[in-house]
Amino acid sequence: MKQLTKLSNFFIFGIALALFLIIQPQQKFSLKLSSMLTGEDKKFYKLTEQFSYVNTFLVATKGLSKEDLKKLVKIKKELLANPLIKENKRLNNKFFQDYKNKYKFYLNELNYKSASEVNTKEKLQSLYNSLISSTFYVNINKQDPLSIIKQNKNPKIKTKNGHLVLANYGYLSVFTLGVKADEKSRIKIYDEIHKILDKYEDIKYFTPIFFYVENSKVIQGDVQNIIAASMVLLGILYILILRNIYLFINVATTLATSVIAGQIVITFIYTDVSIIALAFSTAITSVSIDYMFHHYLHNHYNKRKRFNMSVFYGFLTTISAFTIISFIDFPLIRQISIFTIVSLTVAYIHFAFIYPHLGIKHKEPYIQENYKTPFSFSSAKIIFFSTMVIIISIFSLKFDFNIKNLDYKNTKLINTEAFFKSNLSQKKQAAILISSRNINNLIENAKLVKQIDPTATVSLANLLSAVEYIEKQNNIHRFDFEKLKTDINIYAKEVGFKDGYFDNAYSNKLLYPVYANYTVKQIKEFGIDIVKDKDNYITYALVSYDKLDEVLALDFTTSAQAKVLFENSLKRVNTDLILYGSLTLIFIIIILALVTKKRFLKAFTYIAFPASLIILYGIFVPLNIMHIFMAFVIMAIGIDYGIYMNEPKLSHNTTLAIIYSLISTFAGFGVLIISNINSLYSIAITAIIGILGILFLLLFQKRSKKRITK
Amino acid sequence: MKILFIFLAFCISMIADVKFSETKYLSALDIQTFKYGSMNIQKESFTITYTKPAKEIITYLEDKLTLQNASNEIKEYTYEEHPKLEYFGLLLKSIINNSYENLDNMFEIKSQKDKKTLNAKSSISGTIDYLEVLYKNKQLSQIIFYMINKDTITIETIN
Repeated sequence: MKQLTKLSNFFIFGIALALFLIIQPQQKFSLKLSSMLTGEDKKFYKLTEQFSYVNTFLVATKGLSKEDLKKLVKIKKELLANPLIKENKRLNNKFFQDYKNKYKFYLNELNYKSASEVNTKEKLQSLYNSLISSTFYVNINKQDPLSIIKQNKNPKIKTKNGHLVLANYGYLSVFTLGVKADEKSRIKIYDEIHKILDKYEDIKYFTPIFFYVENSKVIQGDVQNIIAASMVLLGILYILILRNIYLFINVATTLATSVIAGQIVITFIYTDVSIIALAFSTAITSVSIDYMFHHYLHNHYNKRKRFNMSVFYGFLTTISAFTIISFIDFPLIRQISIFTIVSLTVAYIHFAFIYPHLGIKHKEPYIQENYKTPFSFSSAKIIFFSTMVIIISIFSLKFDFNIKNLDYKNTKLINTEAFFKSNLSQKKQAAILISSRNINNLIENAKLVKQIDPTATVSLANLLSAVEYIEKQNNIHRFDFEKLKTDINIYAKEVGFKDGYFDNAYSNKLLYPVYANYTVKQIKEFGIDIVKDKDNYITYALVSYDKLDEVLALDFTTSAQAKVLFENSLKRVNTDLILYGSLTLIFIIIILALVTKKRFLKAFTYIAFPASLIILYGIFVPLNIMHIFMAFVIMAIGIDYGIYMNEPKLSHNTTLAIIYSLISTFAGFGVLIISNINSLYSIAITAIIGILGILFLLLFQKRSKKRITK
Repeated sequence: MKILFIFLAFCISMIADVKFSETKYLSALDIQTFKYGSMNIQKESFTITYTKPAKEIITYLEDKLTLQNASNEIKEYTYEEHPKLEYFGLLLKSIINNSYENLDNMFEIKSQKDKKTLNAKSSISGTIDYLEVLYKNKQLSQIIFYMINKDTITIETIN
């Protein structure tokens, strides 16, 4: 039985591992940035991913020589051999051309208001003369031979040798990628494109899909490296500190169990868990080992001792702090908090209740003597310094609410995108979504946006709305095309045109087409972005920044810029963050006051001093949500130390336990600094500042006179 | 030897004129018009010189074309303002040079033994229906433009 108890830690791990293999929680970890968004913002972000610009793929070959064009044509052929890559038909869309032809008298302005303004004979004579004498070919529009319809100016598209040209760089081809918005499909097309294009030199190519694939690859690699580095570093550290292989194996097993438990619980609650939470989870194990150090160094595992209340208080306050923080309705914070609560609880139960029965032998720590420092500061001085720093810094703090900045910054792709944008002379425009309950109203809304900002790109505004249709039809009635047709019949033959040549001019089919009953499918065939989201129809538009506020003031528009969506998500939790953050702080202070009583001031320095240093850092670098979150975590850790330092007879082993756990926390969180992902980097830098602050207190804060070495 | 060959090839290309006759059927008037002239491709330009019935010279340049009439008056047309004017020159130049890849954006090209059929894509389908390019003994012999409004333009090379 005793032997079985000794192995209980491994039995529990076995059960956890079996559950892990059955449930496979790791598959639910998401690399997508959208897993950090909430509610409407998450919905809008996902909607923007469905629009065609995401699947637009640009390829440019350098140079404008014949050889360069040949190269582009060869590339095109190779790319188009892939069934998922199609030529972009936006400029050449047959369906849209047919639609524009059908409603040409409705979609264009007319040069005259009525038939009486038109000198038919003169116009026909002029047409005849140009047919006979023009050097260039004269194309007679048989439907509108008298040019009643005002010709729209051609869009300025640079071409050379009939091909699109990208400013002075070279030839350009535009494709559409027919891929689903899932990671697997995107990775597949990414690999296939690179397989074709990597062998060519002097070309540039870009599609927004590359961002999803490359960023995912980097994040995944980054998280794997961090977890591996963190595990190796902590492993070495624990072996060196503990000098007890049996204990080390047990600790490693317990920490693995706690991480697995956290993963299973969090993926049970959420279908979409940010991988950032997974990276954080390994780091948080370095906090839970704290509980082991205190029990072990105070001989709880080799001697029968009373329940360690200090560690329990420390654990309880940390868990309570995370519970309060988890009320903040921001997925990443909530996920990390829940993960931490589960992971810490599992680890605490192990270290407090199971380990005393494992038969772990105690080995003396390296240092037996108390260290002495040449100088020290009183608690009052430290509190005074911290308060002053907080008061001075708080007004100069800068914040960064753009969560996109928490993501990996893919500079190479950002530059390629900027290269295409600048060479296509694209103005800086903001993406918005326009919505309505029915398609007709959506077209009206799109036209209203276009009216406010005539430079806006609103594809849907090119369609005829029902109101416009009725209005234009009345104009056509008033125009008296019958008179025009009679005049043509009289004069055409007189001028010299073939008999009956203009029979189809200004036909009723053209003048009175039936109004189009638009469907989502039909509009998509026109190459125009539209999606149906429950009862709403939504389209996409690009608006110039100087008109953006005016456009967004309309009740049917929403910003679709990722930056704004993320900011919105954050601003929505801003009050939550302040409320629950303050509550956590108050709670921590109350607990600290209750536990430490007369020694409160000294214990409080463990919260105030690290916090002041983090706030000081905020003057130089804009603080993002992960800095703020980690600041609360540091305070929660700080309170542990505050409580441990409260022991009336502060033993040498307590100080040692704190220093060991600080080193391990430093290794756990500090390793995140190697990350290319800004959110993990932010966690690391905050942790490092906070831990250095606590270490400073341990070394340089004036101690109680009454001390014992064991 | 190689340099001499390149030099000769360069000289030939500089002086190579393609003489042609142009027959235009205008369905609106149900008449045919005839023109005669030559085409000349140079590195930076493409020139069509009509000699009959009147002397006219069209020179296609990088971003514009010039039209010189019998009285030697010269008019300029930029492609940016008159994009359709570029197509005719580009078409002829590409067909004469046998560089059909230039036309890939505007036409679907079908090749038979002595004939190529170029079906217009939607960007120019409002004007041109299709083109036929005929070869005799692998030499270009005829280019026939079939327009949407039933006009035809036949360009026949003259040896």
